[in-house]
Amino acid sequence: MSALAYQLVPVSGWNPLVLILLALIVGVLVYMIYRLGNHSYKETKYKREPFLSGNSPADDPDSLHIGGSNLYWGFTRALKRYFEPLVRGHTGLLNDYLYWFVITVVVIMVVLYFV
Amino acid sequence: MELSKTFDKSLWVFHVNSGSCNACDIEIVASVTPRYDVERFGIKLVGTPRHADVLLFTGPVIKKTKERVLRVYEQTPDPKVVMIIGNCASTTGVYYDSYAVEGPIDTLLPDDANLIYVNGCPVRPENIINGVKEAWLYLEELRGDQG
Repeated sequence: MSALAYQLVPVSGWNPLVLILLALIVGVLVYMIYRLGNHSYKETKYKREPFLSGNSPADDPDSLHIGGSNLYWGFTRALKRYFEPLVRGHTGLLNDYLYWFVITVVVIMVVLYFV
Repeated sequence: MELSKTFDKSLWVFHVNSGSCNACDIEIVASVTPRYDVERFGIKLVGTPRHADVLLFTGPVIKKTKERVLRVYEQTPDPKVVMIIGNCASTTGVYYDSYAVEGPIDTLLPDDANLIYVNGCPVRPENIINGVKEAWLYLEELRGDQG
């Protein structure tokens, strides 16, 4: 900070006393918010386990696996019109994938040539 | 368990069959039908105990369902009320002498569980609605004790 600014505001943000004071104020605010919480919560053996109709997750660990498709289904549903042609393009044939690769490389080289 | 007045409104119910013959289960579903219509009170059956305010237990606890009953009870968030529906759930009823029966529901649940007993074999839907009324009165009493 410039000397003039320091004269106007003698205490800078890097002053450790200021930081300690701020930490105390934030700590008091955090404690006040914590006090508003529910204190009757009791932790028990099964409380945090996922609900699997009463069954134990240990019996079927695969049931706990969340696949990627579970997470991004919203995107695929919203972009279905653009997603379905792409799915149709995945024929599973290596030759088709190589043709796409060659065509893409050619297009890129042509674009780069003229740019 | 902290209770508020809003807990009485629109109680959502999760039904657990811990070994019942299904008669009480059918009567529970009948109480939701237009003839008895508990849905006019905002009461509905939900598919997960995570959403439930009230647990309905039917049937005696049998050895295979003992752990599952306890697990579902603990997975239901507080505050909650347990309604024990039928003679089998409260006293094991006609299955009292069976090798497969563990015991009535209340022997399994913790001491601080809020229990409402609705008896019958099977329970009449009117009795289930009366049980809900008793649950509301009981909750009012509990709130009075909490000040």
